[in-house]
Amino acid sequence: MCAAHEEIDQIHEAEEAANKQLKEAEAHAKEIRESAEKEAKEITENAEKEAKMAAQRSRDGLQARRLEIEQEVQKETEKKISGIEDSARGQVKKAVDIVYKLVTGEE
Amino acid sequence: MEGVTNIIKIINSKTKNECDRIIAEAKEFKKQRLEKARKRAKTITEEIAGRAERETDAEVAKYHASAKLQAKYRLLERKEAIMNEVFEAAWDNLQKSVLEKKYDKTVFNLAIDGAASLQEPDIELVLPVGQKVSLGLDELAKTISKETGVKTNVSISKDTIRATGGVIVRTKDGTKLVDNTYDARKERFDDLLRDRVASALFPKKESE
Repeated sequence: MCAAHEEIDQIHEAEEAANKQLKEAEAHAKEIRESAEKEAKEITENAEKEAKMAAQRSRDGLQARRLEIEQEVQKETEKKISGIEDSARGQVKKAVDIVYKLVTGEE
Repeated sequence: MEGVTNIIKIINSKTKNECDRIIAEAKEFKKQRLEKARKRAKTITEEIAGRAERETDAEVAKYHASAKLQAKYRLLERKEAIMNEVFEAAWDNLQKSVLEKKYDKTVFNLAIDGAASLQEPDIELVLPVGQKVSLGLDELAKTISKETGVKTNVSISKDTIRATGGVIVRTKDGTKLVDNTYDARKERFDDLLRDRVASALFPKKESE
C-alpha cells in the first residue's frame, strides 16, 4: 500500500513539475511576443521619424534651391537682355526712321 | 516501480515537447511580426519620401515658373524701354523737322493724302499754331485734282490747332476732316508703328 502511494506521489510530482515548466514556457513565450510587438513598433516608429526628418531636410533645402533657380534664371535673362540690347542698339537709327517716315507720310 | 518511471519519462518527454512547441511558436510569431513591421516601415518610408519628393518637385516647378515669368517681364520692360527711347528720339526729330526746309514738302504731301481720302471739291487746311509753310496752293490743288479726279480748290484756314506738325485737311463746311497732324498720325498708327519698330529692333529670332 505504501509503495503504491509513493508511486502516485512521484507521478503527481512529475505532473506538477510539468505544469510548472509549461507555465514557464508560456511566460517566456509571452515575453517573446511582447518583445516582438515592442520591436515592431520601434521599427515602424523609427522609420516614420527618419522619413519625416528626411522630408523636413528636403523642405529646408527648398529655400536655397529657390535662390539658386532665381539666380540661374536671372543670369540667363541678363545675358539675353544684354544680347538683345546690343542687337537693338544697332537698329535704333533704322527704327527712328520708320517712325519718322510713317508720321510724316514719307512712307 | 519500472512502470512509474516510464510514466514520469513520458510526462517529462511530453512536457518538453509542449514547451518546445510553445517557444517555437512564439519565436515564429516574432519572426513574422518583425518581418511585417519591416515591410510596413519600408512602405511608410516610401510614402513619406514620395510625398516629400512630389511636394519638392511641385515647389521647384513653381519657382522655375515664377522666375521665368519675372524674367519675361524684365525682358519686356527692357524692350519697352528701348522702344520708348526710339519713339522719343523720333519725336525729337519730328519736332526739329518743322523748322527744316523739307517740312513744306511734308505738309504738301500730308495735305494730298488727306484730300485724297475726302474726295471733296473745296478743301481747307488747318495748320499748327505759329507754323508758316509755303505750300503753293495752286500746285497743291492741281495735284489733288489729279489724284482724286475731282476738281479741287484749296485754301488755308484762319483757324489753327495745337499740334507738333502736320495738317488737318477738312471740307470748307467743316463736316468732314482728316487729321494728318503728327500727333494724330502717331496715335492712329500706334499699333503699326510699334509692330514695325519692334520688328526692326528685335528680329524674330531674338523676340522668341
